[in-house]
Amino acid sequence: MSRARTIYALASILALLAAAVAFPDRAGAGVPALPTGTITAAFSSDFSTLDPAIGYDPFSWTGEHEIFDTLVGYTNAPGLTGTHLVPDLAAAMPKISFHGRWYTFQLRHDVRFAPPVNRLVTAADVQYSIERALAKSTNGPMFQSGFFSPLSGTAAFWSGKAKHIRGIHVINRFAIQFRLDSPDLAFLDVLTLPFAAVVPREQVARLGKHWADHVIGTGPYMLQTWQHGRQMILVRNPNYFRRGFPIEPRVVIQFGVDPHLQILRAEKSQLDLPGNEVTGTDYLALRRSSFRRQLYPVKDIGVWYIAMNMQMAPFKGNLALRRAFNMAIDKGKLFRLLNGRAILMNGILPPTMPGANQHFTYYKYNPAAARAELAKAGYKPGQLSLPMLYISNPDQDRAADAIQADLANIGVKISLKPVSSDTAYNLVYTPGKSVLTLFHWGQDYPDPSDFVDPILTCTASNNAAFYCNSTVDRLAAQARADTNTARRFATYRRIERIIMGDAPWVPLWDDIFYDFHGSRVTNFYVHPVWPFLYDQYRLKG
Amino acid sequence: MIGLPPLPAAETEESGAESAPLSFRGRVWRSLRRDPSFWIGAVLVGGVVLAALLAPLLAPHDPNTQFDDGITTLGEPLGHTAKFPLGTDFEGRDLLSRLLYGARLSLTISLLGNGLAVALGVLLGASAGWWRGWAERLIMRATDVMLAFPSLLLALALVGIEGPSLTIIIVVIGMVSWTAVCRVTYGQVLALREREWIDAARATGIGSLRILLRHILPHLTAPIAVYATLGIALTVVFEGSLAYLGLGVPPPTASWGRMIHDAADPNALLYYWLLLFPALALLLTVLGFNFLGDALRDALDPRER
Repeated sequence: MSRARTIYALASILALLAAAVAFPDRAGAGVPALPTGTITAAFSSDFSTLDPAIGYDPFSWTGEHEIFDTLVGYTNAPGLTGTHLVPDLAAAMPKISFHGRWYTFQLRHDVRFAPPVNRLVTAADVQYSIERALAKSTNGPMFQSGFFSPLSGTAAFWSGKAKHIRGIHVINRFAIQFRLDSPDLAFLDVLTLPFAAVVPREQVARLGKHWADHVIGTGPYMLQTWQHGRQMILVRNPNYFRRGFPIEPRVVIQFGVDPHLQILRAEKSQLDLPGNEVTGTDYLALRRSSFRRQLYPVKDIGVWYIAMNMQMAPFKGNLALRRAFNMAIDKGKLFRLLNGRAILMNGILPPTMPGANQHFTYYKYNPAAARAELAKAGYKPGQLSLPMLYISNPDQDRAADAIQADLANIGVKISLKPVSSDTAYNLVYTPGKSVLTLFHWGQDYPDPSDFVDPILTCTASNNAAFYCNSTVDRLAAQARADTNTARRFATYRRIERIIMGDAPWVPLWDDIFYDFHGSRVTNFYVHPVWPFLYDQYRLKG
Repeated sequence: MIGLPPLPAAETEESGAESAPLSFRGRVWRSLRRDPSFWIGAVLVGGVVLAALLAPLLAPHDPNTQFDDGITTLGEPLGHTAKFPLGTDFEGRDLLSRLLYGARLSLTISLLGNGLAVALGVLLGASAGWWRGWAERLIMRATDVMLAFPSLLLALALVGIEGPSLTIIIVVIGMVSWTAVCRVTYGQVLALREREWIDAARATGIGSLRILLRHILPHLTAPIAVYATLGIALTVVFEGSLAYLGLGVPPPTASWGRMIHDAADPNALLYYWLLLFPALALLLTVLGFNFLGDALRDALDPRER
């Protein structure tokens, strides 16, 4: 009996395999064409929220960016051009006074909230929205956040001693001034974040906890329906203040669609815009196919790096060891393992960042020199064993294996500790928890300060290497306040050189993502800050 | 000293037949010899065991070496070449070498994990069946709970807490796989403890532990052997499942389950060798142990003779 069952099971498996090969997916047959005037997009998971005071992930920001506006934004363009600050709800860029500490904005007079609110946006709305995002009662990520802490009076506001933030001053109905404790040029970038998006106070108050499902803003689209986990429909905001936008009147966003299925659907013209980036093997498969022209490369503004914990042995006080690690990693091999979807990095500032030195080098791959540094550090080959923590996914698994092999080559044994991202974030920024980490930092906004202040200063909360150098802190404070852009960028490049001299990191690479779009999307591009700009895309036919 | 008592009823029926002068072992061997399942199983399992033992001699390369010429300039793995007979993986490592070394890991884990499960199952089942009372109630209810709980989920939780390592995986496999052997042992001991020769042993004043070890356990050899053999097949798959879910033995150690995990991708057909060969190795090993287990069961079960 059991023998017969085994044979039957084998035969069934073979039959299934044969059927799979002989009859590939024909799901596209008979499916109606996509509706005209509607951009159809898909994501693997739902947006966590559309409340701009709460959302703090790229997916939520994609939706929020279509519905809300901020005083300033970025040029609608790909690449470095897309990192240029431009006025959005403001009529012009702010007047900066009082030694770079006061920013005075004049608001546009033609901005109205979407229906059913319909009224004009005023300076009081800006004040309300930012205070709401920062308030403890909102329970959002901006409570006590470093982004807005340069604003005068935030400490008193957060401690409950003040009802309003003293640094936000409504001058008149259409003018508002932000006053900082010290000059900080990155504050304009902070004002582009969705946390500073303007929301209608009466609607927030009326809807209470249901506000996030019925948000109303000033952006090109307004939310029509949102079936959580299934679908979201955005429709044109008739009150939108920019003439001619959005180009297409409707966007349907489907959720719960596997990234590979997104590609298959887009290939069959059942989907316009896969929302998840193309996976490594899909990229390789698409490059071989006739769809390769629909692949769109996006240079990220971020950095993958190995953090060596400078508060923990063996890296504490051992520069030679940190230098050895920097010289031991063959980044050329990493580039190939990542299928070329990377820009190799030797410093802390991504080459895609405004002001970065794109040709920065410090340490070169040299296993012999690395072995010499290891000996100088006091370790014989085979004497040092360390765990390396990293977030497991196909690309990082390969990179971690390669790093392990490279370090084994100089005589350092690495045991790999692949973990989930939640576990990693719980451990990496906690003192004494991870001695060696393969980790990533991505921009909050495209300014070099975002790659120094929050991650490589003594008080930084995301400092995986627990690096602290008073000179770097002093220069970072100086650069933050410098209104001379060229001099400011030069200071950040100087900081980069000092940090690499101390070698708390092994900088590895900056990602190149690939997005895929359906054949009827004509002017597709991906913005360096907001991945998708549905209001800018046009459909054929 | 009391020798090995007569076999239990089912097995003694045939011992009285005039035309069967063969010993029990002789009969088992005769049955196995005539069973094609045994030979298929023996060849498959023997092949895997040989591959595992001789991996350092048979493997053309170190299983963890990432060869510069093992991937294309675009980072694609290579198919069959003279240097890499079964191709390479996405990290430029030789697939054949990893398969051979993977056999070592799969067999080590399955033999030790399953050995632990059998030891635990026999110990607990025999204790429950022999001493009965509160021990029986406690052990058998614990067995019921374990049987009701999804073993993979439990294993994932345990590995998740402790972090994956060879030892942890062996222990976890042992901890989630002992229930079947425990039940079988318990049933057998319950039946055997009522036999006259056990009463006789008790009457001579032999202690419980000695009766269990010398007079009862030898009679459990047959069912345990069958369960152990079939259990090995299940354990190989179980290790593969853990590795497939990313909780197997940590990289870069070659493991069939991890190789399948790494190759499982919607575009797997583009690089079919990455999935095909480890899956085939796993399939043939499981089949081999299943055939062996089947043959052993047929040979040891008098009803099948």
